[in-house]
Amino acid sequence: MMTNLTYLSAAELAPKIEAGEVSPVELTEQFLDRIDKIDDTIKSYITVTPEKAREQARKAEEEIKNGNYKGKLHGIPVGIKDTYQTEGVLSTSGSALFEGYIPDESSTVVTKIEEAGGIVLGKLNMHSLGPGSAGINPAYGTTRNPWNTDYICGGSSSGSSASLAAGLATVVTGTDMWGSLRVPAAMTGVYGLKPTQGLVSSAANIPTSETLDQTGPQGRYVTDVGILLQEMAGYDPKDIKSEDIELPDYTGDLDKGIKGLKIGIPSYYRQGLDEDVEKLFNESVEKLKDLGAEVKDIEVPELKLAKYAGLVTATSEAGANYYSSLKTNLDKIAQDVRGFLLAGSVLTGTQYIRAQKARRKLVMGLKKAFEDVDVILGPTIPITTPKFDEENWEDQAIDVVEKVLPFTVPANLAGIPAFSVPMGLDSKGLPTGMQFFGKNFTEKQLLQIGKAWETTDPIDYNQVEVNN
Amino acid sequence: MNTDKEFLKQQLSQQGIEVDDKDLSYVQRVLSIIDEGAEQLGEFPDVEDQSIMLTMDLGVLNDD
Repeated sequence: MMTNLTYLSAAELAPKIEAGEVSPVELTEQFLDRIDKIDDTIKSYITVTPEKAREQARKAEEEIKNGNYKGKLHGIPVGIKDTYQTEGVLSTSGSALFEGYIPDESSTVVTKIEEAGGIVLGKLNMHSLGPGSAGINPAYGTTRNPWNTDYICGGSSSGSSASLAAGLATVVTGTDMWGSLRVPAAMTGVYGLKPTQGLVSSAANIPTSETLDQTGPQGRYVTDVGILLQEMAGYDPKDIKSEDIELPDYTGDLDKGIKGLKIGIPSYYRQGLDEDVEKLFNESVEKLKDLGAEVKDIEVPELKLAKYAGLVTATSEAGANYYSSLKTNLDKIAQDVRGFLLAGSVLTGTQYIRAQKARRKLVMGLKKAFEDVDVILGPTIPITTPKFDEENWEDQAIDVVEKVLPFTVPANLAGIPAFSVPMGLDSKGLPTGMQFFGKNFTEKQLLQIGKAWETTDPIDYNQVEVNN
Repeated sequence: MNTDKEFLKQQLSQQGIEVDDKDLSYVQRVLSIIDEGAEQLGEFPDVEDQSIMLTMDLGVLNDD
């Protein structure tokens, strides 16, 4: 039985912290101690910042003692993906290319989290530079799946998801270019929300593919995702993509339920599934019906365009972002990532424009689908989590992208929100996930769906290998 | 798409990017995945008629 504070939800911790029943200093020490004990195996952090965390925890405790409680994130330990620049702290985006890079300013989201009283434990590992879905990293070590360390944990936000599953942070940030918040969430049994493009600022994050990249939260529990999203979201004039909208209360009314919710499952998301994924997905659909949802099969043929549009867009934009580095520092870029960036460099302008036209066509297809349903549902990824193939990691990294990107990148291409939730364990005991796509700025609705789903107890962290 | 290694090497070299055979193998692999995706374009002949916002095709479900 877990009795320590490291697996408690932010939603449970917050009132205890406000009431003085849980000390942010003690809570932070528990996390630092656990990171020290088990993260050599998991490799979820690239940089741990114990002194900074202790200082922030002491400050939070003092503020709360003096009656200046800021809100639900105050005193809560947070992990930050290494793509987010952090003032005075190594920020590498998981690549040797940024070895020794210590920014003199923080990304907008990190600043907002710190202003809300979040305790930053450190910088989380990731698939090098972002264009990868396996969490493989030759520069800082490959993040292992806490459910079974022989297996990968997905990426690119590998350290983010793994730290949650291993009880090494309460909530975390990630980013999502072609599925990076959702793929590792599915493989590690946590909740990952890719918000609507423009809801959360990307300012001062190390970019990969600007028109696809989106920053977002992950958590072990749905309400926790809402708590972190509340502090991450909001208009930022520093980000050209930022949208100025009125934010809802992302933790209020989450128990609304899903009675009468119209869910559409495109046939696209029923094809090519591993046997375990298909079985668990079908069982999950029945559970959603039991919860009151109206589920029907739909056709969105334009989803077939996602692979081409997604890969051409991502590799072209990422190739352009690292164009100079390809000429001068190629050896510092991981081999698999090099493959994607170099491919982007030989694609033509015509191909990029054709990809944008395919993207537009896909968007129109999704738009039509949303005329008949409230949300679209599919497995997050069609495969079960593979074992880490250390000998052939470059090939494995590309294999995983080839299989998972067609399932996840439609949300990035369309800019719509997508929420990956745990779907149970496969026959090897590894987590699986399914994802709900919503219309723009319907994150609250997705959280309400997630909250209803959470009542089915889709995951039990007592079974995580590092806890046994 | 022409994925001949010599052709790709030349394309990259003209841009000042020097690569080895292993790099070229992975470029070929990624381009072949893109090619597979491109096969789907044939099912949608009106793709070429789609208008795009060249600078930022973002928030596109929000444009009505």
